[in-house]
Amino acid sequence: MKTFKIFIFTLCTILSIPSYAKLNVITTTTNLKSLVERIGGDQVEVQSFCKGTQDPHYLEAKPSYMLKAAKADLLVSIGLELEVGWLPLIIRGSRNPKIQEGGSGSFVAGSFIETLEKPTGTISRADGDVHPEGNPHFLLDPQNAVIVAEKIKDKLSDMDHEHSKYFLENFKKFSNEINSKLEQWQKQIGKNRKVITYHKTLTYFFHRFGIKNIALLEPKPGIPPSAGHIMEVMKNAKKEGVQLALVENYFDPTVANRVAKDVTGLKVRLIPVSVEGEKDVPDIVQLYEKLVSVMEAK
Amino acid sequence: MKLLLAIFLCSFAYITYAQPLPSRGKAFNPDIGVNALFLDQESKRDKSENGMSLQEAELQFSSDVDAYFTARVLLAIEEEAGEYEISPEEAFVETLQVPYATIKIGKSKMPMGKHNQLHSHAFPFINAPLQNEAILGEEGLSETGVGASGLIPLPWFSELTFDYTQGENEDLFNAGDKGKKAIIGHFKNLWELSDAATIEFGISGAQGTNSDGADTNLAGADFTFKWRPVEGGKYHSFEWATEYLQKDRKGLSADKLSGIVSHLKYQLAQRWWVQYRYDYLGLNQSRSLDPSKRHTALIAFLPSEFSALRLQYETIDDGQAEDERTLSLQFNISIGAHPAHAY
Repeated sequence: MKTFKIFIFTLCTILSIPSYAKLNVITTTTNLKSLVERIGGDQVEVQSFCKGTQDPHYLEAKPSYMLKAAKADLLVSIGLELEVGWLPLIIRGSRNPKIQEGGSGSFVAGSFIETLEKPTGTISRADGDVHPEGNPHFLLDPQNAVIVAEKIKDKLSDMDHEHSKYFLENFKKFSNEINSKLEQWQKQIGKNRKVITYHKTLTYFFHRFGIKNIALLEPKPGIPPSAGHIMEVMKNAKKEGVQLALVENYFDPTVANRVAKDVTGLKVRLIPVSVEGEKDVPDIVQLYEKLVSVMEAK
Repeated sequence: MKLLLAIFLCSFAYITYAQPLPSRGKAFNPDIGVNALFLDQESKRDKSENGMSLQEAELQFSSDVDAYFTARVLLAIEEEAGEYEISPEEAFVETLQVPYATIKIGKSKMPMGKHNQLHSHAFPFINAPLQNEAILGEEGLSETGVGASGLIPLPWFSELTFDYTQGENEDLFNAGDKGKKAIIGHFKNLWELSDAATIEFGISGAQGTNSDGADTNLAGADFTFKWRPVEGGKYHSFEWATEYLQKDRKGLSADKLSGIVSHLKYQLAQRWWVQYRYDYLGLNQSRSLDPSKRHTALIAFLPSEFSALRLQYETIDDGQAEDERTLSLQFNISIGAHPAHAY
């Protein structure tokens, strides 16, 4: 009995020792990972579930993710039902009460954003993969990234008071960098750019820089292109004189290439929409630079 | 005057009554989902189940109870001897705030192998493996009790589940003495070979008292390999899963039976799958019955994640003069909220 008591006592002592190690942060997407790295710097250890080339709508809830989530101090997610198909299982399987929604280690970026394309009135699955709370790809607007970065700074400061000054400095650096580049980016893109995309991934980017999305290759969100719809897209593309078709690199570009065959002057570009989606985009600012350069009128 | 006042009051009452409830009132309703499986089947030998039918409809309700618990109820509506019956397939509560472990209370599908934990709409093929039907029963092994599961601190994913249940499965447990309980355990391990591939290895076991007052022991093992490339993972994936299950029923009507089942699943395109399964039932069998061997081929078209059309052809060689051949077409839909599927 005495040894048992000693065992319990030691166990309690070990469990109650506060850890001074770096904050262990898990994010659902690589864009969020990049933001946390920008603010947390060398005071955080960050991993993302979704790789840059994977569609965050359809990740599989691998048990190995539960293991990562079990050890996490903070879980940073997009919200707006983007991860609804897999994240709840991971949170439950992690047996980590901190990262439950509403828990001290839960951060849902979508709750700080004024979303676009929020459906009004009734919604139905006949409309495809609609998000009742609005389009979840908000981090592709650099200004939204600043809004989220500020909240991440607050969250990290709450969890690690000692380094709150460091987090604040990092945030200021990031916000200044974005603000100083916005005007330049707008100039590069120019006015009245018209594009075709596969999915409504770039809505926020287009909204920020005044780019017109003439047509989508998907007839409805999440629904693969049909022949009839493609004809419609070609007609619109010709009428509007669109010169650029963008395919998020987790989709198949075959259909876009077919459209390009019929529409003279239309170029197809396979683009990353997440950090690490291509080798030369290791960071969110570089992702914006990449998208801007693709958009540039040449 | 009185009449006017009465009319006025009535109309006022009517107005207040007709006011829509604030939409927040609905916020606490449980998530509701329905799965329906429609089946058209043509068998050569056993023609009793030929024709079109509603194979099963499942009603799912799930919600957090409070800050501490979450609950899920799944009712299955199925045709049983010409009449539709509604029965609770699962009804359980799980803890949310207990660190390192999940405590489960209620009736649920037991972790006796991997397939037994699936709902009919998530079966990889239209019907269950032979060994699951023969050993665990048509409805599978679903028991009422208390369970605990937790992750073992190892470098890979390693989960231990333990259930302490009443043991009501008619053939396996169902002891006359209600004091006799059945226990079921599962040990699950998963390794990431790369970002694209995983292997899973699990063992399970169960023990309880049967209607003869003697022991029934179950043992099982499962192995799964899954691959989905990081680039282009929307369009191609592959799965190979094998499961072994054995039963040893002691007592007057002693019975030993075991089987093995293995399947391959390949995703050809975003919405197309081809699958093959091999069943062998009757390894170390105690009764003088011939073993059953089954080949199953399936092609599936999934218009979206909420609907699936599947065509399946199977042949069973069970030692009888004529082999059984069945062609089935199943249409499977899901409406409403649908909890995420396990990996």
